[in-house]
Amino acid sequence: MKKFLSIFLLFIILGCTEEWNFYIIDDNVKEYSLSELKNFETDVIYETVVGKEIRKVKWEGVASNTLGEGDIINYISEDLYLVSAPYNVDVILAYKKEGENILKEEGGPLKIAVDPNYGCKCNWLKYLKIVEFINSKNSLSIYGEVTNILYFSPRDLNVFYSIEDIIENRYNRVSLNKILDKAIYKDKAEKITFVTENDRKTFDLHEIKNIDPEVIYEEGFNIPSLNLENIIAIKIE
Amino acid sequence: MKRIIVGILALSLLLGCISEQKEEVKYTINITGLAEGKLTLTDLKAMPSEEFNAILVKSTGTEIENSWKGVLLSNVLQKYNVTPDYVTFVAIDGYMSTMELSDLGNAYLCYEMDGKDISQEDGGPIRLVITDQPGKLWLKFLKEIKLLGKENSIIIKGKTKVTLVLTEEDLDLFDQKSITTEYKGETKSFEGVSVTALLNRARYEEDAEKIKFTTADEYTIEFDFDEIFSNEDILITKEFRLIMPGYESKYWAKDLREIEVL
Repeated sequence: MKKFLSIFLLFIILGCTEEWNFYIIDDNVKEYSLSELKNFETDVIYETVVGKEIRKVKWEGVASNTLGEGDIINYISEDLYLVSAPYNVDVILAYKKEGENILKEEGGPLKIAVDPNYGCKCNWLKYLKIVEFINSKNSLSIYGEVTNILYFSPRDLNVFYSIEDIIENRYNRVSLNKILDKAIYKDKAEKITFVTENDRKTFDLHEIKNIDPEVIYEEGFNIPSLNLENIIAIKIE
Repeated sequence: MKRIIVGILALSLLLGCISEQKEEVKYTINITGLAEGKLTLTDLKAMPSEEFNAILVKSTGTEIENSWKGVLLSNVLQKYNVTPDYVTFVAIDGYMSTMELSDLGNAYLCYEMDGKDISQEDGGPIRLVITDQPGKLWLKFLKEIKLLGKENSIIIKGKTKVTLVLTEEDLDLFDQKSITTEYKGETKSFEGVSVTALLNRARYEEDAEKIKFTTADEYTIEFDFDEIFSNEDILITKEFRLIMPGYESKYWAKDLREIEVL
């Protein structure tokens, strides 16, 4: 019986001390534990929740734009969901809700809480694993008739594979359709324009979808099969 | 005894109906901007409605199909005899979205989902449904519809990934910056929102080259994009005035209405 109790206690202790690690990426990749994050200055975002009554819910964490520099911040979850938000939007890496640790079913132990004046609740990414500071001029953005405006750093081409691949920056190529699917283009979209520093080239979206060319990063985002080099943005119209 | 029970039952039903009626009247959407008014759930239910199926596409790509009943937004606008350029929808929980009227042809103010009143959990009693737009724009707990045009807002558009339409009160949502500078030979202080911050929020396109400011009386001034973007002291005040420290007074445009990135 004593042996059983000891094993039971050990499980509880191990359960309580289970650590959540995440990564902050700028020029380098740094790994942090949740305990380390709690040593940073705390910030708060209040969310208005409509239930039987309207109440304010307090989320506590660390303001993401105190952790690095850039003009866009990408947030990537354990299940590889990606949110791109401007650097100056109030976002916290939240680890407490109403003073308590965030439950797993609510996206804990680490999620992002976003200023409600910016966008929709869908930005509140759960199970946060990566915070990446991006300079938009060195990224590939996708916008226009899409559900999600996204910015891909060269490293983010790995977001279609695994967290480990992003950290290791293992792959430098992905099919264009995967990028389009991540942004979710609207049904009415018909054209796709590739924006380079000096030029814009427009194609029929459905033809390009059928070809599904490969996007490769080699000192710039290129699509060799379409003779496109140094693409900085993809506009869906 | 039977009579008493039937009496109590009838009274309860009557009270129930009255209370439901009160609830419908109490829930009000404020119409603001180019027209002013209040739209209750009762008002909405009295308008010609449509029943339709629509697929909600979540930002994860998940699709959910439901049947809806509601009133076309264009019918609501007709009631107020107004044709705005843009419409901002505001929810009780603080979320908002702004869209061009031309993208709202399939927008409905819905009050029934799958044959029942829309529950609070699903964003009721009135929820915005736009059948050809992503689910994240189907705002729940709608409380205000702002009708916007050049008459009451500044529009930031062109080579931007998001079109911003800002009223005087929307400018309050941005960090306010104060500067002291020379204007017509005097030292003066000004407070407003940095144009750089607005361009960042609008997410300017990477190949932006020029920026054009247009006032209400169609006066336009054009600059190199980088020149304006890199100067964080260039402000827009709540009165929609362009503050251009170091520039001649002719560039300090009043009654600004449009910023176009070219």
